[in-house]
Amino acid sequence: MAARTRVLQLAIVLVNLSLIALAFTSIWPFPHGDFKVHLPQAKDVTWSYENGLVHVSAPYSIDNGWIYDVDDLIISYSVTNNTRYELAGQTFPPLKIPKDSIVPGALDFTFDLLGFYRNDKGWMVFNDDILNFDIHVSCYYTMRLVKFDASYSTGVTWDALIRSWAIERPSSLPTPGAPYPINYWLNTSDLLNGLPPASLNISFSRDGTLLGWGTSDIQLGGDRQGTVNVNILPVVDTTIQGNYTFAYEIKVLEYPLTGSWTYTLPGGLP
Amino acid sequence: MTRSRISDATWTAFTEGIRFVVVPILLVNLVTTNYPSLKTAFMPNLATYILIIGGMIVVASTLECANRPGTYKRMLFGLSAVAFVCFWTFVLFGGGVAEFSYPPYYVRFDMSKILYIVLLGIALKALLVVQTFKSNKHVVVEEQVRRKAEKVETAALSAPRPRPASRAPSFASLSKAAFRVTSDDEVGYEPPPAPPSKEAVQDYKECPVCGVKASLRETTCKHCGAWFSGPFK
Repeated sequence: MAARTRVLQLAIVLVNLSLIALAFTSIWPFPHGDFKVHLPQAKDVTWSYENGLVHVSAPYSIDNGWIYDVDDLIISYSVTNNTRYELAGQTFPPLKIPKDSIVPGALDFTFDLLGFYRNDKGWMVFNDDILNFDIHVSCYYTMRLVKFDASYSTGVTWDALIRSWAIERPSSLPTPGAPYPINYWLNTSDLLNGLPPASLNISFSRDGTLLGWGTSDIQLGGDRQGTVNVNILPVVDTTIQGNYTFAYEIKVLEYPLTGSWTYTLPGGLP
Repeated sequence: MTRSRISDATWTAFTEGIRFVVVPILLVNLVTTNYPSLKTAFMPNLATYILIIGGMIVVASTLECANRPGTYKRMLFGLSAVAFVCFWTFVLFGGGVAEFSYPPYYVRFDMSKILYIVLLGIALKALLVVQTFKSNKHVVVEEQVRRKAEKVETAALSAPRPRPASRAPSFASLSKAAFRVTSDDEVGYEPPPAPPSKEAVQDYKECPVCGVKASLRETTCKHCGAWFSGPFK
């Protein structure tokens, strides 16, 4: 009888030791760093703009350096702007990461900024914003005995594509036959560096009759300022009564920026 | 309860108190102080829960040790202690779910399956308790029998003298009489046997040699001197 008790005692000790080993080897890789999920940081996010589409790429990697496979790894993300409007979202199909391996990847997504602009949601074209990345990673570990969930939220600053612009308001009527200089200023996002330049067109007219015009190209990316000369026709008589209008259009890629000033004579300049 | 059993119980209370109350509370305080972002289901009142459930374990284990192996009490307290240890483990590990929240990260570990397996392993100790009970039960039964016998013996020695027979008639006190079944007109008790007749009783003996009568006390014949055979009255 005593021998039976001993055997039972030994069996219980062995079972418990193996259970402790199982629990320990399941927990150990998390604090020790053998299982790591490198989620994208704000500084790692890369952007590009092309034909009205903004492409975002955020790299991540998952290191499984321990003795168990990772099963059913599911990564999902959603990107919203500051008004919680969803710009992109996706759930990747489940992955299996074998033991002692690293799986690199990237959250690649594109959103149609021009589409937003055309649908009167062009806030992000002209205003800075914050893109909130909500990333969720879930997987099973240790023969599906441990479930791991991680969520990560980070805000990435979005610089407006066209941050500001200005055309100097004419302070006098132009002199016929002489170029009329008007200063301009355009500040665009660095994201637009290297893209075709913006075009600035300024026209001078009286009651719809064109009296002069001027054009200039403006490089995109950063602060740009300069002067555009409006060539006034020599036959213009600025003493004639009517509505004199300076109108401008800056076309930054697909986004036109327009404005005008009208002076009515007599009465002088406002 | 013998002295060694008391000392065993005291020692068990001490060690179990250290194992299930003192050390865990210290560790929990250490963890909650150093990792405030760690959350488990019972974390807000974990120290209190450990104190209560750990106390129950200490009491059950102490009572288990205080009783002799093979008794039902010991088995009952042993099984209770195992159940309390399972409960204690479940509470201590928050049901196997731990959450860390350190913005912008939020991590959740669900190890409940492993915890249930561990609880199963702990519950195996119940088998040991039952096995101990079964293997020692006969000793307890034998001792009970011996004690009962001793008790009976002691009782017999110290028992008072038997009382005189009560006045109430009993069968033992009635005289025996043969009952004879006869024809209807002769129903009745058989008459008692007739007393021996005085003639049949001889108060002398005769000498086998000379035939002279002599008293029963005489050992030799006064006439011829021959020896009489006994008995001599």
